[in-house]
Amino acid sequence: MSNISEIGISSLLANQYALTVISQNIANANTPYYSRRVAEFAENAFNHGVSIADVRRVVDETANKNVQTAQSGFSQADLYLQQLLGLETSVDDRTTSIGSKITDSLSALERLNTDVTSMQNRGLYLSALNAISSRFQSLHGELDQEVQNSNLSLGNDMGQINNLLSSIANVNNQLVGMNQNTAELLDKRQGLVNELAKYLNFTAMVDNQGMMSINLSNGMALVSGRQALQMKTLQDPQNPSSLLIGLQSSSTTIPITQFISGGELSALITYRDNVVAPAQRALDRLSLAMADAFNKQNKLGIDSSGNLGGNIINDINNANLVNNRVLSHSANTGSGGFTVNITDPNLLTTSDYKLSIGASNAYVLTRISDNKVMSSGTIPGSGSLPFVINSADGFSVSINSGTFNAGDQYVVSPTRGGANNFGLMSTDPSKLALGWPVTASIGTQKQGSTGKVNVTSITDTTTSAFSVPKQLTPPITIHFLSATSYEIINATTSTVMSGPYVYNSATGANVFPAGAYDPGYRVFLSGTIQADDTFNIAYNTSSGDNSNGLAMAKIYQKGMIENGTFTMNQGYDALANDISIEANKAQSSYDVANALKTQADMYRDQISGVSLPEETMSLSQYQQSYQASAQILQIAKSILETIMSMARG
Amino acid sequence: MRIPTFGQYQQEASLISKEFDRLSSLLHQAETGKKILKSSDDPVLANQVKSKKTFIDTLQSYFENGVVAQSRSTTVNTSLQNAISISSQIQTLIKKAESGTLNDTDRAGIAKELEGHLANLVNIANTKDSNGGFIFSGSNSTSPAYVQVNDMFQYQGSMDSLMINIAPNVSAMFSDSGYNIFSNIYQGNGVFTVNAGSGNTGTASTTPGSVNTSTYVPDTYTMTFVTNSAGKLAYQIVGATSGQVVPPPPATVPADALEYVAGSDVTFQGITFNVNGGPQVGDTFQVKPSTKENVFNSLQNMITLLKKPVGNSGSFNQAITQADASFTQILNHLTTYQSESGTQAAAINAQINTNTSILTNQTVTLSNLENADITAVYSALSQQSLVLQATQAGYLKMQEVLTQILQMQF
Repeated sequence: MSNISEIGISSLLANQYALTVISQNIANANTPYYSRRVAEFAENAFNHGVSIADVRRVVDETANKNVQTAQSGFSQADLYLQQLLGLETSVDDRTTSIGSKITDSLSALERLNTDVTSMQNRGLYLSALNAISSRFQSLHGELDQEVQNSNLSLGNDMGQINNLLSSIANVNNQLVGMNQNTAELLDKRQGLVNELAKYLNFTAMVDNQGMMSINLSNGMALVSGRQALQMKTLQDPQNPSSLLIGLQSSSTTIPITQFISGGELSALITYRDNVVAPAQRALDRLSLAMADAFNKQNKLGIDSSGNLGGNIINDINNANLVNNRVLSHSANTGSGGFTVNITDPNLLTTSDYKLSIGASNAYVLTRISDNKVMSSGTIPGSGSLPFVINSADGFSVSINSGTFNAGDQYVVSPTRGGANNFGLMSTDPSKLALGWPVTASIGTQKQGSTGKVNVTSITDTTTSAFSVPKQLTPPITIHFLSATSYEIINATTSTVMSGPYVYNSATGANVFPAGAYDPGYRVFLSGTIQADDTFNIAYNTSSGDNSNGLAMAKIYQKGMIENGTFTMNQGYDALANDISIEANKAQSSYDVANALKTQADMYRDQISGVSLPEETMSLSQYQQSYQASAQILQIAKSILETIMSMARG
Repeated sequence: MRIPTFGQYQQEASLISKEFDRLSSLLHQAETGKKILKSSDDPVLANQVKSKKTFIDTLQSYFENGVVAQSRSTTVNTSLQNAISISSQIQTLIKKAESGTLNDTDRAGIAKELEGHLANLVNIANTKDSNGGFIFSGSNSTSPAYVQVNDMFQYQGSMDSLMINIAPNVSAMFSDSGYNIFSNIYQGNGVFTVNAGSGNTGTASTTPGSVNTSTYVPDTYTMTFVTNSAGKLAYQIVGATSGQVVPPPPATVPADALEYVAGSDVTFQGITFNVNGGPQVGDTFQVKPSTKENVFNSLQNMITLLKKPVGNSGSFNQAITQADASFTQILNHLTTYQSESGTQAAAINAQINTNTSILTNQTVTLSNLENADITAVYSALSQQSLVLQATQAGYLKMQEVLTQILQMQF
């Protein structure tokens, strides 16, 4: 008799409890990381009804691991893509790109060439150059900002990660010794693990005590049992403006950057080191090549006042730059004083170089991009300094002073500071050197001669020919001895400098270099010339000569980067295109990572997620069982009442 | 398969957002007409588009210069045309002045007219462009081409010409050296000049003469009238370096000098001219290789000659005949130069046409590269909006089914 009541009561309680579990499931249908619970009924022995043996948390470790891995991959791809798309917008916009500023300046130069005496035209060209300069500097600033933002985000992420790590250790601690109601804690821990996976990749393992350890890919533990280590940012010993990731152990901080290949941390570092830094170096290189080309050409001409031109853009080997192209490793025990000079911007690469010091002052200069050894040898004693290491990549390192110890390391960054340095030397438009310093003309010409003389190029204005300002030293007369031979005469002293040289009217003749004499300009003779015809070469005093302006326009079509592969315009396009290609790849990676994450989430949700239709059906099922159990009690009560009334009767 | 509600909604939502992304990118295509919105959509195509655009922009910057060069060559041509017309008027006046019926006053009147023409010619040579640059000063465009110093006109411009680029690696003459146009002209018949000696007393004068280039020996020759051994008025010719040429050695002078016959040709060393009038013994003529003189000085000399009263008619005739010949040279030179500059103008026009057609072709290529096929885009657009509607309908249907389950009575 009491058995029926007992069965009824136990069934009522069990079903009520099951209803609670279902309600909890329904209530948490939208709670992230909630794993649905299932009430497990078990029959009580000896017809004592039923009880809830266990409330099982439905989980699959593999599914959870997949979610965690997919989360790392997705966060990495997502952040990387967003950063690249942002960067692409700032380099790729046609109206603000350096490429369009370059084309604008060419237009201004071509217009200027039609009237180089106009100060207004000159000013317009200078402002076009200035527009290139400001864009160089602003883009460089934007890239710098990207580096800083990445570093800042790394720092912020460290705080989040450390919170998560200690929370996981905390949950581990709470779980020990608890036998029941662990579901909530386990879900919480799974949530923490998934949050952590957003920042980095790791392996999570649960030991037989139920404690979860979090390990890096190399096995280094971040959380082990109740202990959580702290991660922090480290200054890159080789580059003070760059942050690395370190793990704080008892006394030291161990660098762990290389073990992180997933999550936001990896995205931030990859973006900073593999996208922004190369873009900066490419931008620096482009600006160096352009500055050098403009300066070299301007130096070959004469300005409005007839003086030889100087630099129009800041010198690419100015003291500020050459002294700052070497970064010293913070652990170095020696101290080297270096200057790095760019010898040919056309040969520069976008890589940095490592200068390693070995035993007995041995050195090796290695290109970082492909580990190619550029130069090796021994640094001489301080008495023989400076010592110059020439590299085939368009720069030379001069070791000026200092002591060197084995293990010292330096990073040589030849392009460093280039874009910021691309500024106008002077805003004085008259300093644009658009004429050539030399002019050639017909002196005396006999009846019937058709001889012509042209200055074809200026190659060097540092020769003795240009040693006196506004003069040619010496001015030269080319005197024809016969129709087929000529000599070169110093027009000041009327003495023969060299000759006779053979002249062929069919092919013409390049006059210089004449023997060993190279005055730094080239003159071409052509046509039929007779004995005693003369040609004069003198300093140019024409105000409107645009010969050097025309030569300057040719720079725009000249390959000046990557050993002549790219013109300045193409150089910029290549830089922007590299970023677009990377963004395009990142988009594909994102699509894949997104698909993997969706799949992993769905798989996990299929197992652990709450299905409202299912729960609704279970709800009615338990409701019915609950009502039936109540009916059992009702019956037990009425049986009891029947017996009681029988006893009374 | 057990599909949980939460995941179900997420999946549906992400499907909708994916379909919406597609729709919005198609909408962008339809709005902008471009295939790609950012370079990373298709880096290879984007790079092609960029280099095409750079090429077109570069060519366009030359285009402007082409137009400038074209307008300059028109100005030059007009100036030359004016100079030629003035020069031919001058020649007419010279021919008039040669007429023996004129008196000193008539000639002074002609000189007055010539002075007006001279001023006009100098103005033409010193033509300025809209920027104030002198177009015939070569690269020395801030100086006037010709200025008068001590009654003589001197060229101030540069000897070289100013070029500008009208296409990559194609340059056009922008400002030629005025020297080539106005100064590079030989006097007389273009090969030699014949001048009367300053002390001539007779009335003889010569024609400008002609040359046989294959036998011509350039030298300064002096023709002197003498009395020969036969007692006749005769002439002998001696070259400064050639020595005695008429009569040729071993004949001796003055004994063997050739008898003078008025109106007959004198020929030696490739030179031929006709002598007319009555020379006196002791009169001389000098034959010299032509030197260059600019148009303005030639004209100035002529004016000076016409202003002075005629002394010796022979010397006057000689001078004016030579001036006439010089102006024939000037006219020839200017006409030749005009046709050369016409050729250059044609070359500039041709280059502009080439630039235009390259520009057109490249623009078409560019538009093929970067422009979306609008019909295809619109058709895809309507398809896509249909897909999106279907996805949304699916989402709603799912909600409906769920609601039905929840309302079911068990």
